[in-house]
Formats: sequence, structure tokens, C-alpha cells
Amino acid sequence: MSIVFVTMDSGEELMSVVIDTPESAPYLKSGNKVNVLFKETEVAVSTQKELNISIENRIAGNITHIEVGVLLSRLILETRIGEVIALISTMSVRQMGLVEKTNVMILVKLNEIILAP
Amino acid sequence: MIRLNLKKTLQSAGGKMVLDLQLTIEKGEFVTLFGESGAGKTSTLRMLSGLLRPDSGTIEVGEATWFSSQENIDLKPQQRKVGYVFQDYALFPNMNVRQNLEYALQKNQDRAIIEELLEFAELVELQQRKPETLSGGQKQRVALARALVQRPEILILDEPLSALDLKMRIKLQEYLLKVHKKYKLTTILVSHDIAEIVKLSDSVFELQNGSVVKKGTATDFFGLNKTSAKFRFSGEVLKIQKEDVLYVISVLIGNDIIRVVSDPKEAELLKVGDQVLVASKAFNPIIQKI
Repeated sequence: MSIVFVTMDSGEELMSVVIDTPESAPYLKSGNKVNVLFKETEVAVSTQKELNISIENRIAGNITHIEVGVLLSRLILETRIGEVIALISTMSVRQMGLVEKTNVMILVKLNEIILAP
Repeated sequence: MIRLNLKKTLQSAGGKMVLDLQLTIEKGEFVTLFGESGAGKTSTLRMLSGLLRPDSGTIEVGEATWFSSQENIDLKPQQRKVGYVFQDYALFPNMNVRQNLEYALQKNQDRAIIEELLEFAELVELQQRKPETLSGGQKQRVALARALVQRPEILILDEPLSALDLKMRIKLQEYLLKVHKKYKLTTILVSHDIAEIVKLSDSVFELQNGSVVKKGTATDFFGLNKTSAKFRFSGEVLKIQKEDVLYVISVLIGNDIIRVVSDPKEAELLKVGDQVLVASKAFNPIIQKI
């Protein structure tokens, strides 16, 4: 198992835990380019900047569009790593008072990040 | 090991094409030839089985030379240990199932093989039936059994399942794997179905304009190894359904239908019948004894 630190083109750092090691997967080498994938449903959103929480990947973003559904809502966020989509419950959208142009932090646990060499 | 080194000028619909091919297949491997129609796949297999004469080159199988333009060797099809299964079954319509198999017997060959194959292919009860009374899947089982009568070392499957419906295809895929293992064959498949190729073959050769342009293990070939995700399957899209702000995609994987949630952006790129990769991290699935 390895924890891999990925520096994005924009300078942000993301972390991923993978079962592979540099021995089992030769692409795990400092300086190698990888793509980073995560599922829209695994993105959490917070309006607080500093959180005492065990979610390692945090990126600042701004909501550019919200599509509110009956149960779930789809947030399109502008961040320094590019456009990120978050699928969260409509309940949370209401509770947190999320609207377009709200500044938020997006949060993704390190076990949710897939690396694609 | 099979070593092909072949040159042949072919007349195709699009004009002349020069097939110039070097190909090595390990004994006991299950390989797929992949590529557009007219790339030279069927011609290659016809040359291997002796149905088409190369202009020049060599065909070596193990220690034996089947064809050599320089040494003037050209074994007849019946001298080559090749079983050939076609998409259209090519059964004799006037013979019943048993007679179709018996027709393939060589002089003085032990007839016990017929009983063995009828049993193995579950054709015992159908042995007196004429091909026209059989379903597509049954016909293809007969064609496959007939290809095995002469105990070939090499089995050639030229799009054998493409005329069958999905359920029958999946059943016969299992059967092909069983045949490949039981008779210790070197099997060469022509197929366009990615899920089928990944399921059946050890390695894949892509042909383009009569030459091999790419080769690799089946999963590497289609890029399925190119993520760190370990919980990974390929399948076919059965249904795309909008639910609330997202889509639910039903995917057939083996005999199971699974459902995956997808963002509209990605769902838009999919259509029913598409071959897809479904992947998640090894950290996510739960596992429980049943």
C-alpha cells in the first residue's frame, strides 16, 4: 500500500491511497504524470474553511451552477484544478443555504482518488 | 508455437492490399485478431489453415513447417491440424448432427471421438436432428464439435458468436473457454466484441492494412489496466435511465446486471450496447461471506 502525493498543474496537492507500491506498479515514480479521477458522489462540500475532519483533500471552489433535484442536487464548482461536479443531497443544499456564487471547500477522502497513469 | 511470416497480395473491395505479416503465437494461448473488416484477419486464418496460398513466406507450427515458399512446402488443409469454425456454421443441411460430425472423421480414425464430442457439446439428444431444426446456439455447438473431430492443435474461430443473441453468446463464451482448456488447444479468435475478447483471450493482435500494428494482453490492449482501480470489470450497457439530477446505467457483466450512477456529462457519451469499463477502488466494496 502507498499514499501518493500528486501535485496538480495548478499547484494544488492531492493525496491518494492505493494498494500498489512502486515495486508492483512502475508508474508510481516521482515526476511521473498521472490523471486523477474521483466520483461526483464522493465530493463533500463545506462552507467552513478550517475543519477538524479526517478528509485529506480540500480545494477551495466557487459554485457556478446548482441544479436542484427532489433528492439530490448537482453543483458545478469552479476551482483551481478545474471544474468539479459535486452530487450532494438537496437537504444539505437547503440546510447550508448553498446558492450560486457561494465560496466553499470541496472535500474528498484519500481512498476515493483513483490514479490513471 | 506458431510462427507466421506471410506475404500475399489481396484483392479487396477497396482495391489491392498487400498483406505483410509477422505473427508469433505461443502454444496453448487464446489469442484474438482484432481490426476493421478488410484488414486481413480472415485471409491470415485461411492461409494458416491452407485454404489460401501465400505468395511467399513461411508457416511454422512447433517443429513442423506447414508452408515454405523457398523450400516448396505446402501442406494440404487436411494435413494441417486446424479446426475452423465460421460465423455461418457451414453445416451440411442434408445431414443430421451425428452425420455432420462423422463426415469430418479421417480414414481409420477411432470413432469414439464422435460419442465424446456429442456428449461434451450436449448434443446426444439432438444427434438425429437436421441443422435447419436447430437454434443458432445449437448449430454453433455442432460446428464447434465438428471442428474438433480430427483432434486439431489449433482452433480457428472466425466471428463464431456474432450471429447469436447476447444470452446465447455469453453461454457459448463459457463453452469456448472450456473447449480451449479441455483439448489443450491454441485458439485464434476473430471478434469485434471487446467484452468477449477480454473475457476469452490472453492476448490481442490488431491488424491494419495487412500488418500487425499493435499487440498486448487483452486488458492492456484496451487500456483497462490504465487506472489504479482494482475493482474493475468490463461489460455492456443495457439501459440508461434518468433519475433526479443523475443517470442510472445498467451494465451486463458476465451473467450479472449491475447498476452504476453516472453524472449527465458522462451518461451523454454512452448508448445502449456500448462496451464499458466499470471501476472502483479496492477500498470501497464491502465483502461478506454468503
